[in-house]
Amino acid sequence: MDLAPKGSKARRPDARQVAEILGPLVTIALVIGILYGIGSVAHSQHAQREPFWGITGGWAVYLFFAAVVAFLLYVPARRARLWRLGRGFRIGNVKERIRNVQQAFEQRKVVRDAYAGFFHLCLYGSFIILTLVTLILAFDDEIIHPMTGHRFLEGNRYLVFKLVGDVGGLMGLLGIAMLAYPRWFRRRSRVRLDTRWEDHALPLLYGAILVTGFLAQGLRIGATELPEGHAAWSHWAPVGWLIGEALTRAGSSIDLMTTLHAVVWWVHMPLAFVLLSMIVWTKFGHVLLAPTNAFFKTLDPYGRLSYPLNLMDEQAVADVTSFGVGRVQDFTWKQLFELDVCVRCGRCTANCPANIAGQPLSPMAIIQDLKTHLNRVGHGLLDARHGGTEEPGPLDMVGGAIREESLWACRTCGACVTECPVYIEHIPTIVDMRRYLVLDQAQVPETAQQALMNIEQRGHPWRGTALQRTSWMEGMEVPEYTGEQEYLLWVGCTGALVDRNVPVTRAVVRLLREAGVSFGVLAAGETCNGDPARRLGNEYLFQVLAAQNVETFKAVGVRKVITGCPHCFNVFRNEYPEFGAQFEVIHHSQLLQRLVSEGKLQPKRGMQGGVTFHDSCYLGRHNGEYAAPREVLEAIPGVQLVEMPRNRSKGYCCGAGGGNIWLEEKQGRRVNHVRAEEAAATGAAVVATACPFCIQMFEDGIPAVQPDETRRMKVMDIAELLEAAVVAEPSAARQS
Amino acid sequence: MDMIVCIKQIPDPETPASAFKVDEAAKKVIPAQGTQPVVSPFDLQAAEAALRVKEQLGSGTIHVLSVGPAGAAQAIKQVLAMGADDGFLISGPGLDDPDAYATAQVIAAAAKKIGNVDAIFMGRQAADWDEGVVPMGVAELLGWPQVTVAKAVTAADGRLRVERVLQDGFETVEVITPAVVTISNELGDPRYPKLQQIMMAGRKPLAQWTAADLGLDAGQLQSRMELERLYVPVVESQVEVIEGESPAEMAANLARRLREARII
Ligand SMILES: Cc1cc2nc3c(=O)[nH]c(=O)nc-3n(C[C@H](O)[C@H](O)[C@H](O)COP(=O)(O)OP(=O)(O)OC[C@H]3O[C@@H](n4cnc5c(N)ncnc54)[C@H](O)[C@@H]3O)c2cc1C
Ligand code: SF4
Ligand code: SF4
Repeated sequence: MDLAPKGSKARRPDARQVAEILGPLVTIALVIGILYGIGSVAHSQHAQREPFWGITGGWAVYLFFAAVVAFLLYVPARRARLWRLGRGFRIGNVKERIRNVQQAFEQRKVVRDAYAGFFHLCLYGSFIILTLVTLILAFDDEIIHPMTGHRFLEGNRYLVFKLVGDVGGLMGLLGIAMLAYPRWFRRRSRVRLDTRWEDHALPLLYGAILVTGFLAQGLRIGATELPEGHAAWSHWAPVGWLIGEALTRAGSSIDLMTTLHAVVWWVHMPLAFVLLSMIVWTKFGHVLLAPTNAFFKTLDPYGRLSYPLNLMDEQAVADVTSFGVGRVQDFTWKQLFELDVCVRCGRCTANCPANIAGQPLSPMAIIQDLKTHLNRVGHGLLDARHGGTEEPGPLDMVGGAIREESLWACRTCGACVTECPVYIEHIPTIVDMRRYLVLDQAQVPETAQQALMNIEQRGHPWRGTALQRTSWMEGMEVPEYTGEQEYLLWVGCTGALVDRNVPVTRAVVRLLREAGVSFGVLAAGETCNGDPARRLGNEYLFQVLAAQNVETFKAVGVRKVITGCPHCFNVFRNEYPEFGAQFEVIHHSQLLQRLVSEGKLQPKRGMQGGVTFHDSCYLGRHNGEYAAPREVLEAIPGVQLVEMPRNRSKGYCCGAGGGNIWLEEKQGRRVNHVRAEEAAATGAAVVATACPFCIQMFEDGIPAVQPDETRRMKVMDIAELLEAAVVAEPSAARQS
Repeated sequence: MDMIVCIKQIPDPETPASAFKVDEAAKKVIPAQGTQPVVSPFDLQAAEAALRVKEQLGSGTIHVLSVGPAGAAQAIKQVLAMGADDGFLISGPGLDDPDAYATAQVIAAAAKKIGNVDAIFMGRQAADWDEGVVPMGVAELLGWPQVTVAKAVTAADGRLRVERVLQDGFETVEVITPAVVTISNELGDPRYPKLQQIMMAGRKPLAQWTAADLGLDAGQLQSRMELERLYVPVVESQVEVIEGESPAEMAANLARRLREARII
């Protein structure tokens, strides 16, 4: 993703990436080295343990193992039949995909939540350590020793091994405690966690395995190492040693401890295999499924939507009977597979702006409800597909298993996708079902329908506007784009047709003039880029408009486009190339940042007071531009940038995205009021943004949370603020 | 039941006032730059009314008919996409901008030619000139009964049950078929077309007729109405700011002014 405009602080991804990968490896190597070093000075050359000490029938382990392996293969194979109900899905570019898997193993997303990230690291580390410890032990006992007569785990190596095992066990217990605390005691989470039996069973089971493991170790130490005078060895397994000591001091006989050890071991071992087998039938499966899902994750920016068909090609769609996704088998198999990957951690929902505002949407519930629906209808569908006569059960997916109002409440803001630790992609799934509602069922909320019909008839979504495409130019000389100029300035429907956004467009034009940038506009030649239609599910209308605009651009020879609207920016940058567009696109924040850093715009007049910057989802999260608008603000003398708690990739949607500016919010609070409250709480004098929709949402939200007009914060685009600092007589004269 | 829906393509009534211009000399409206003609809103609701009747009966045919320039085919397609069965575009010499009576004659002749029609659904008035007389003309020429300004239409034993909007309420009437019914906005929003229907619309039959095909001659279509003058009225408004030291005083001053102006 290289969209940093020239002159912005250059990124050096290579060095950082290398450091991020090498860092953990070097740390682990160091720890092992140090432990080994300490181990080698201990006088304990013969330290070792006897396999299956005190256990008769220990070979049963391998029976269990074989059974579990068979189970591990059988269940996913059966489950995969359900996934394969879905449509095809292209993989391609395996190299990049493997990098994504690596990121999954590095827990990159998991640690975005500090608390959960920490306890997960404990559990993750513990599980890996103990699995390795067990495997090495088995390997040593069953292969190395019989074949060579020697043990790998002998002497120092064995002692270090003990210590590593104990540390793994303790990490696991700490992880379980931290996991359990909010879920069982404090109910810390804002989100209803949708707790099911397995959410209790898994940590309890793992806890039981760890406790019995420690107990067995303690009993064995108490019965062997301590009476045999090898306490020095035992110290390398501190927990086991403490238990052994305590039991010995309490007067337990060696016989008793030996018997108890056998009992505990026979609990410990089967439990471990139960846990292992749970990989295939509970959410514990995420240990394998999450990295797999990381492999399948889209390689596109999350802001890009796509559709498998060219709807304008009458031949291609002649036989299509259903559009969008109204039945499970219309999803891709990747979308169905994903349903089984979800661990119900609730992070998506905890970060969902609609959910936070109390509206009827939980991305976690969407995934889980689809999974329940798949379980309900999947086998019937398979039977039908394989010639069986059984009718697939009721197919009420959209409107039944998934409520329509949930689908409409989504802002496509990407918070869920960004936070999901197992790489689930909610947006395409939600939009696919919207497409079904719109294209197949023609069930569109009234206000959205009006916007869509207005786009069809009038080429813009702003029904009833008193402005024309060229009204904003009044009293200004704005050159028409001829193909001669360097840039086409794409004004956009909102920048031209909504009163509040006109001063922003004028500010951009004045700044470009001031900096001597060569640009022109299409004026009345502009039409909607189709983004609202696509997000609202009318893919057909989007494709028609995209093709039409690409034609226009080609006809006038557009090479570079400036846009003030992140939605236009996203659609041009990520979605138009599929329609044959070949031009660069730059958001006004990026261009302004560059002009300032090159000294072509010199902010002289300062302003007083704090400014808080609100990240537009489609500039920030979806296109990775967080720095440029902030750098523009910081260039203005006197500006003190204060951040809201939710900023940058954790930013909170203004409420307008995904076509929601044309939808009514019927339940809960209004998203823009929630965000306006956060902006107001910073105490800043201005909330700045770089998106015409965000501006409208704040202009509506700020008065709702700051009723006192005299002490109300201002809502400004960064271009308006910069204009005031650079140009002698700013046009922004928007007096309230 | 066989039904005809009459639709008129008009300049977009939602064109911003600032863009509305007329050529006073030619007595013509200058189409605003960048705006496309649309189907008169009441006519889409007339189509919706016919579709509801068809759905109620589970059978029937809906013909869409427009008199006007060749470009009106686009308007017909829009209604075909809503679910109408076939289209009839009547254009040609004398039919680019016919007056109400000429239009009524063409529609009546077309209805006869199509034949076997049980009902004609029309908008209560076209949203360009708002004359609202074409439906009366059609009913008169065909000798059919007509019911105007309807908010709901249902079929009942070969008749139509029509709920009408009155100044101060509603009335329900039953009418024998064939009949002409005009639809008002109270009927509700026209449906949003399904993609499948949009795709199919292009493949539905669309007949192109001229006045001659209907047995009408140019003399019959001559305008009976003469446009004397077309102009945009100049609206003048006077603003007077009521002064005062305090809100209470301003209110008192405002009340005094309103009383002087005999408004209160
Ligand atoms: C025949 C006609 C005459 C008009 N005359 C005037 C006028 O004299 N003055 C003026 O300011 N504007 C007039 N308009 C414009 C009209 O007011 C705008 O379309 C309307 O303001 C849009 O906003 P709305 O919220 O009312 O529409 P909507 O929210 O769309 O209203 C809902 C429904 O009401 C119906 N509707 C909308 N406008 C009208 C209307 N004017 N008469 C009957 N039904 C309607 C439509 O079926 C619409 O779907 C006229 C429009 C039409 C079609
Ligand atoms: S995209 Fe945003 S609004 Fe939609 S479900 Fe995800 S977090 Fe919620
Ligand atoms: S979708 Fe992802 S973030 Fe949401 S609950 Fe499931 S695993 Fe957690």
